[in-house]
Amino acid sequence: MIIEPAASETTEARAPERSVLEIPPDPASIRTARLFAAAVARHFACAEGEVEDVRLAVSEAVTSAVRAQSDLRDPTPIRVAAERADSRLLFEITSTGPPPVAPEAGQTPPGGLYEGSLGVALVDSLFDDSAIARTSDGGTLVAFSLAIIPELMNEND
Amino acid sequence: MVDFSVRDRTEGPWTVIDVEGEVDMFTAPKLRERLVQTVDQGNYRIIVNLQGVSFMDSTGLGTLVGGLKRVKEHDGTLALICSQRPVLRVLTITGLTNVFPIFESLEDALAKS
Repeated sequence: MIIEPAASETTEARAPERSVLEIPPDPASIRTARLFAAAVARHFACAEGEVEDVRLAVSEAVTSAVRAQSDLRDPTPIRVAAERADSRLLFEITSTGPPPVAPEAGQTPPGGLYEGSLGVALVDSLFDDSAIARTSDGGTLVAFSLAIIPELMNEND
Repeated sequence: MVDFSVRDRTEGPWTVIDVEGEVDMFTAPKLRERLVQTVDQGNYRIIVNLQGVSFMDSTGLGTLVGGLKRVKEHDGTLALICSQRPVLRVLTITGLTNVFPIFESLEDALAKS
């Protein structure tokens, strides 16, 4: 597991604006991703309800990535990145497996409805601006963001 | 932080499965295994106690739905005990509050099921 804080461009001692976690595509690592995401959200003073939504969204995105890469036996780490952009906190989960396929109407996707595409669809229910895209190398990017109030950030975390 | 555990006990005609910890892709198989065992043993009236669950995602939901389908094949019932916000939220978003009987306590579940 690798955590990379982005280097600050100022000389002031301040929390990094972008943090990245890399985890192996293993079910046991999904909890680590949730802990990381929750810690970042709390650092940016998100309300506890929002922290729970972030945990759920990250869990769903990482689970989908683990499932896709397991099918391909692909050991490439999954990246969970969190970055402050003005008054929003952006989360991005990137992986090398393909995006989940939306089921045809009336059909159950492989692995079942709840263990297939519903997981990532949940992210859409939680965050209005969520996006799921295929990356240029055939992988998957899941992104979502939430509003933050910079003045409330926990600088001592 | 509570480690994941699944235990079962009997309350009259009901099998109560007590779950603690976080239910996700890693831990859900243990819950699934217990549900399958319970039904295979001929117990079709099941209450899953989620009061000790601090997190559940769609993998956990899928496990519960799978358990519900199994008991339904035998005209059984699968009810949930849950008042934890994170778990209620995911049940609500997915509409599963309309599928499972959900109670706030075991006493409530036993009295009304």
